[in-house]
Amino acid sequence: MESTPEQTSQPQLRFQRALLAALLMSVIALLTWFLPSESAQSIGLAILIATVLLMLLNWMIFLVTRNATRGIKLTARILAALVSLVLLLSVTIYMIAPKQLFYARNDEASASALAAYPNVEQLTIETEDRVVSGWMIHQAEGKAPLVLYFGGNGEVAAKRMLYLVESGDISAFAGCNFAFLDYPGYGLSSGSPSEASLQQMGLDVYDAMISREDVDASRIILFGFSMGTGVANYVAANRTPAGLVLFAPYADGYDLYNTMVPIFYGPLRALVAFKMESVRFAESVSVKPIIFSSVDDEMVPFASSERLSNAYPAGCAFMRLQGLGHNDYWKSTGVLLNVSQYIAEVIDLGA
Amino acid sequence: MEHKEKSYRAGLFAPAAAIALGCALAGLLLSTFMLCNISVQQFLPLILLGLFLLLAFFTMRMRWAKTHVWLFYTLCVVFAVAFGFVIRAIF
Repeated sequence: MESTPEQTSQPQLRFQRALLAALLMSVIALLTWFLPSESAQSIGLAILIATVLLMLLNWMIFLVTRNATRGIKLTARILAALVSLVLLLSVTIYMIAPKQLFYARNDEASASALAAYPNVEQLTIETEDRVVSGWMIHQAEGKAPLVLYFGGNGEVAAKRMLYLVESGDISAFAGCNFAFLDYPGYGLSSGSPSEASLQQMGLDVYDAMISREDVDASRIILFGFSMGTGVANYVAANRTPAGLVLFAPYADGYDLYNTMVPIFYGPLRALVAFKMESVRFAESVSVKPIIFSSVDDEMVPFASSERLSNAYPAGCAFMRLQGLGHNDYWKSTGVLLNVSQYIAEVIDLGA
Repeated sequence: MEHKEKSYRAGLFAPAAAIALGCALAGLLLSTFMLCNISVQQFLPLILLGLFLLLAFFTMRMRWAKTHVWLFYTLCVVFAVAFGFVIRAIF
């Protein structure tokens, strides 16, 4: 027999109602905190929708089984609870994981310092639905080769470009102009970062840059670091650059997720929102890239870079490094020297 | 009889809602744990559940809460929204 409110004892009924009220109040208070927040709004909304749907689904299950035996009713409730828990945790993981991946921010101090250099130009590209902002360092006259850089998840264009100018490392790209545009949500770029928005931004930036008077469309080098290697691979697969340079590339987003929490295997791969399957894009890349990967990289597993390196139809130059952490690639003069040599091999710098 | 059946069906909504809300709270706990750095924020869902459980349990002892259950739940929702804004102001 199902216990009806009339048949439940008063203290038990009071506790049940208090528990329901406490759960309701906790969830509403937290959603009131989450929903107006820019960073947690999507998570709050997803949890709210999932909760309402699960409430109705569970109610329907209870209604359907209301005349069943006690055993079936109990089984239905346990199953409803398990399914609800799995679904809500799945929704939460799906929404949270990309937030852990992106560190969208601006760096006004670096932007101000960078703007003072005479050979640095601030770029603004307006597309149908967004504005992409970034910087370009001019090192060559006329229609010149261009290195188009796609940075890591924590990189802001202004800061990287300022570092290149101040450290003198920009000389590794002598004879080429160098452009770095911020991902959606980063710097002054509008929108929010996601796999789709990054891919679209990559194509928009490439198309905008080759239409410039001072860029030679036949001498574009795509350059990616860490998360940006996925974008560089995607653009290389859909456009025709002259070369491709990759620092700490990953085969796909599953590898990145598994570096954070190693649970995304089998059916749990469906929870990966940032798939960025570089290994699949690589099959359509016509140029022979150069890949730099360190066995001591703590963020992108060496095995992932190695797996990607085997996917290029034209093969690739794979540089196995030791003793370099994830943020040390740019600091290595040996790495930069190899990049200079690669650029000189794939494009005619004197043209 | 018909009234009793209707009331029985409505009574089944409470456990259905409790399960969904409990799971939502687990999801929110995972979110605060992953997104926040301060321990109080990370465990806020559990802290709130404890506080609100005590509050609701003692409020349920009052006569008006026993006789006007829907008024009690409505006030809970209003109080929770207000509390949410307080949390937002604090953090």
